[in-house]
Amino acid sequence: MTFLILATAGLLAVQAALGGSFLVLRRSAMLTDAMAHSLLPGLVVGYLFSGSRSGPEVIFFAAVSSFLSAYLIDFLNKFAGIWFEASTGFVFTSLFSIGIVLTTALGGNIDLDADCILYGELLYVPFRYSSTQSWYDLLPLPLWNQIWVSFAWAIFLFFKWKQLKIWAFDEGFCRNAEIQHHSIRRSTLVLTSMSIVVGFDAFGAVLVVGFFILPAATAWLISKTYKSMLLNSIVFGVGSIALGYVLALAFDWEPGPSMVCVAGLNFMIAALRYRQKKSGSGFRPTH
Amino acid sequence: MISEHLVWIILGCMLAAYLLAITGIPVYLRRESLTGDALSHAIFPGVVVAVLISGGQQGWVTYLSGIIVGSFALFLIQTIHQKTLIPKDGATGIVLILFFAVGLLLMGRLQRSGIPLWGVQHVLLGKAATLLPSDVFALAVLSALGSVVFFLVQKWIWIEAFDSKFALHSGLPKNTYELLLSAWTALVLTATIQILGAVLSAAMLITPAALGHFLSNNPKKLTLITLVSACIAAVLAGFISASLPSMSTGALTVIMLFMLSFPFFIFHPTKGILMKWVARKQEARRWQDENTLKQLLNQTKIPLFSIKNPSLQRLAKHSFVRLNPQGKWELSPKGLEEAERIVRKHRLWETFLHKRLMLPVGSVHENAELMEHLLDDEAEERLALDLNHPSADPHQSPIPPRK
Amino acid sequence: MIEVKNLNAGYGKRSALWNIDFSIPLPAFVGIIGPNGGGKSTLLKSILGELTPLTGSIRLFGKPIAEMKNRLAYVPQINSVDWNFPIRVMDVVLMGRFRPNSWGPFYSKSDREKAEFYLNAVGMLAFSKQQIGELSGGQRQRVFLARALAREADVLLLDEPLAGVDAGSGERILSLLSEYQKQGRSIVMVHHDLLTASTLFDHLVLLQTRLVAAGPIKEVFTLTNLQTAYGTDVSILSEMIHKLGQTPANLSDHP
Repeated sequence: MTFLILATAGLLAVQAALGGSFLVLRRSAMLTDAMAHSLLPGLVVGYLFSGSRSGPEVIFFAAVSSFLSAYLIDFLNKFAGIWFEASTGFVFTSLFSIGIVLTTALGGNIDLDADCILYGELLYVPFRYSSTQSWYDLLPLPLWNQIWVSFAWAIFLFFKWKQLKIWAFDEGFCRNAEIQHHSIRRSTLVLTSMSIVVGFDAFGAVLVVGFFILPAATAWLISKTYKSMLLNSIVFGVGSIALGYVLALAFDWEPGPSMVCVAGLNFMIAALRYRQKKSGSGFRPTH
Repeated sequence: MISEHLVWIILGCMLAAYLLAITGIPVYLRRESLTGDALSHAIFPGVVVAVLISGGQQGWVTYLSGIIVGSFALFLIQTIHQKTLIPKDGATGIVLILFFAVGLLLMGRLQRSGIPLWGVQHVLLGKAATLLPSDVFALAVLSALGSVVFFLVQKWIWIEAFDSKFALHSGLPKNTYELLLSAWTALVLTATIQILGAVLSAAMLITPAALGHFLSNNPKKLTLITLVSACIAAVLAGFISASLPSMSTGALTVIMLFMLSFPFFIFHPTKGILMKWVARKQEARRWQDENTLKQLLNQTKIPLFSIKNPSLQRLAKHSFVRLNPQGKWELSPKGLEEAERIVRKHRLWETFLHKRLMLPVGSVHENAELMEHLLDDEAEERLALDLNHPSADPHQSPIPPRK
Repeated sequence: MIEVKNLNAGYGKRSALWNIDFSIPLPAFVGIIGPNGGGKSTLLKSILGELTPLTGSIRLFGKPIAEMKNRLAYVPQINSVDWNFPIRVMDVVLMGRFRPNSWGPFYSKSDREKAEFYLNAVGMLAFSKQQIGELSGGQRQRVFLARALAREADVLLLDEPLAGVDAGSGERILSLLSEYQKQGRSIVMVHHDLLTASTLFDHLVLLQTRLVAAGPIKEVFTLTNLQTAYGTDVSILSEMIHKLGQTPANLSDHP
């Protein structure tokens, strides 16, 4: 049972490390937070369609809602001239509020409360099986979701690795190398919104955003190549999950926040060592 | 229908919205809207700690704790951003999520040890329903204080946000200013997070100022729009939640603000996205119509114009063209005048390019095809004057005289 | 052959280039010179296809430039990259070997060999494992040049490659470019230094928002043309014209 929880969480950490690395490098870290808040109205709409809280309709609509928020932010920024930070804040808080009001409006019919939003149902993962009477019942639904999305990421990374790296580092070079950077960005956002939604379903918003940002940032501090940054962030993410879970059991903490705090501590340690290293060699990082 | 209790709630929400909006103006101008969002989440552990210490929920312990934790969070963001390679938005996100997680951790402990605290949902949504008159009073005091300070230092706020180095050299004690602004924002958020919740407080910090800026670049108008829109949204939300008691007042406020702002963003007569798109289309049509008039003047393309040509339809509607007895399109006197004006601009420009910029004769036409639509009457007059009223262009075609 | 016809290009409604018309046979070492704000970068970006012209067309080897992207390589003046990005020098140069049809995460052995070759050519092979942010400005510029060279394109476009580069690196870059060009490739380079311009290029495009002159250097680099473009002190110009007649080897007091 513990294994199932950790496996589901571990896969989330992997996806979040992959997606988060790109986002943090491209200065879109806060976009993760925005996209996580923005999925709420889609979640409610999906619930209206499917009647259950974690059917594929719900995941689909939530992902769409999350994905579109990124484009809405850009849209307002480019065409209405609204500053990017303000546009981000405006879009996600509005969408989130709409989601909250829709939730309340449906009264007790919707089985969604703040606990779910914040914590998800990490500990209930081993109980959420589907009932299709097939091989699909072998693993809990959330774990299956994680597997599919992780698989999608793996395929994307394998085939588009070079393009991704070039796009992340030097978007201006993309045109010269004939890389369609719009489509790369779109694909990244689609996969990210899927990861966010699937992760949110299992673990709630806090864990998802925390694992998109923290392990990747920690890895950035210590990595010299892009490949090593991804690998390091996966290690840090999975490690934080494991250690956080152990601590939560030992001290009777909520597992989600516990895992994020471990990841945060990890970051602080890395940041301090980074400072030490840099001031020791007399080298100032360029900004 | 409206109980006294509800009046306090509406008043409280309005004051909270006002307070956040006015604090939001310098935050927005310094492009730190998302830092404000991070701060609203980061304050949360401060509030929890205060409850742990004081056993209750209100009082100066909470405010002090909020200020300390909030200022620490901002300090951390700065430090991470400046001392490591993590860029600003990454540092903001890190602090946001870390502090919030710590807060949740602490709150979990609190709930387990049985200390009565508001539930998790209040973190997100606030607890406007249990607003006490003393809370409202505190908000009123803060709002009054904030307003006074704001109007006193308004000029500095703008200067510092626009060009902080210049402000520094002009005598603004920059570090003190930033410290005070941080502490004040933390204080305000501590007060309002308990009413509106974290996310919704952040919204009220950001959106009113964004709307104000969208509608006006004038500092006074911007401020007015910001404050008024925040209050209107809060009051409307208050009344709506009167009839729908289970609704989160905070969420309703944000939605009211959204419904107030979004239409402006789209439909504003000059800056709205839709209107800009329409204006572009109209401009394209103007160019097309002017070209059509020119072609009719040259009598070269008439057989090719079908009756249904949309450009001709538009011109006919405004009586620039008409159908002659033979069933072909021709220019009306009004249309003739307009066509000649365009041709005049075209040929004047060609002359200018050739005479003044020394461009060869073969090269001037294509550029003039563009400029003929862009030159206004004043430019046309000045060109004619500068070129000494030429009678023919570089191709020896006659330049129609001014009417 | 590169042909520019009737080009009007600019940003928004502002024209930075007016009616540019010229053609130059390739291969060639072409310099784009002229006073500041004269449209040199604009011309380069138009050739690259980054800017859509308001009027006119550009053709390379007889075809529109939109179809010729794979025959072009570009080194911009300012790189807006994040110098903190976790990427090593060798990886940056390897990017130059990227082709649209290459799939999979790996570069081939020959790609790696070529990348090494060009990195060596700019004298930066020793730095191949360093993170890009650890280099100086001139060193970074050489790495990005190596990346462009690695594309092995027929036409290399450079926007002021010597700006902000120390003199030693600058000389190395220029001689490298000369070598590269002699192998049958073409270089189109925006350059600001008239002194080196007179000896480096075989063709010149002299721009001052409109075309002042374009063609073989002996025809373009004349006192009249330079005066029209720069409108400056005659004595400096005449000295430079004089230097045109001298052999390049006499520039020993050039730093």
